[in-house]
Order: sequence, then structure tokens, then C-alpha cells
Amino acid sequence: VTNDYPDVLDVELLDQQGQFVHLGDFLGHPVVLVFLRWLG
Amino acid sequence: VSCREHLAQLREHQEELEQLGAVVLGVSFEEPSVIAGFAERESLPYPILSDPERRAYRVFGLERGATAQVWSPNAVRSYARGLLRGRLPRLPRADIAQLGGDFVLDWQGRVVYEYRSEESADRPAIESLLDAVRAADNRP
Repeated sequence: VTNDYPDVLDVELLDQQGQFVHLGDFLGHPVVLVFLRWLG
Repeated sequence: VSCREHLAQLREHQEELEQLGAVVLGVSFEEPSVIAGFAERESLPYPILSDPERRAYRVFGLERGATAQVWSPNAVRSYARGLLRGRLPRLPRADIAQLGGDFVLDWQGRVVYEYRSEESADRPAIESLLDAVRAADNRP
């Protein structure tokens, strides 16, 4: 993998309570990110 | 496999992932109420985070598929398997052409594994994800 993701730690997502979460919040752990399609 | 089947496979390996210190995060562009219902129905032990504007999808280079990628033979077989198990697909209210993918970040937040789905039912083998997680715990 070429580590060509300069903004990855700033990626902002919403949790199920509507609070912002950044990928940088998970530093210190391996993270498995699973991007889903439509939830059919 | 479908997203649902892929998540179920990950759920079966949750204990091993926890032992490896890994955090699993699902990402969806669907409405929060849809995500919450899905997570409850599937009894997922990890969160599904929301990315309604698909900014994260873009950062990770995930694109919309062409018709042949969305309705691939694998995808049709996957939906057929669901129907045989009595699972009716929901009418799509979101973009069915958006493709998914799997990524592993190491403990420093570096992307050490990437898998972009070639078509809608294309997902990495769980073992390759687990191998990536094992390698991601690469502290000096």
C-alpha cells in the first residue's frame, strides 16, 4: 500500500448519537474500516 | 458476498479482532435511522458510523459503479441467497451504485491495507483482513 492518504486522520464521521468522530480518535489501535453499500 | 454477509463474517471473528486490539468501524452513507435499524437487526458488535456526504468514501477513493458492476452475477446470486433465507431486500432509498471497500489502519493511523470492491458483491476474504490486522500491530 502506498500511504497516499494525507487526510485520513481528519476524516469526520457521525456516530449513532449524532456526535462527530474522527479516525484520529482511534490512534493506538489497528482499525478495520468497512465501507458499506446501500443497506438492502 | 453482500455487505450483510461480510459484516456477519466479521462478527464471527469479533473475539479474535478484540484480542488483536483492533477496532472495527462500519461506514454507511444511509440515514441514521436506517443505520440504527440495520445495526440492531444484524446484532452488530461494532458501530456503523454515518457519512451522509460520502466525504470519507472520496478520501478512500471509493466510487460509484457502472450498471454491470452493481448488478453483477455475484450480486444477483447474493440477493438470491438472501431471498431463499426469507430476507426481502428493502426498496432502495439511497444510491445503489456506490461501491464499498475495506481498509486497515495501523496503530499510527497509516493505511496498511486497501481493498476497493470491483463490483457490488466483491469483498475481501476475512483471512486477508485478519492478516492485515496482525501486521498492523507493528509497534517498534
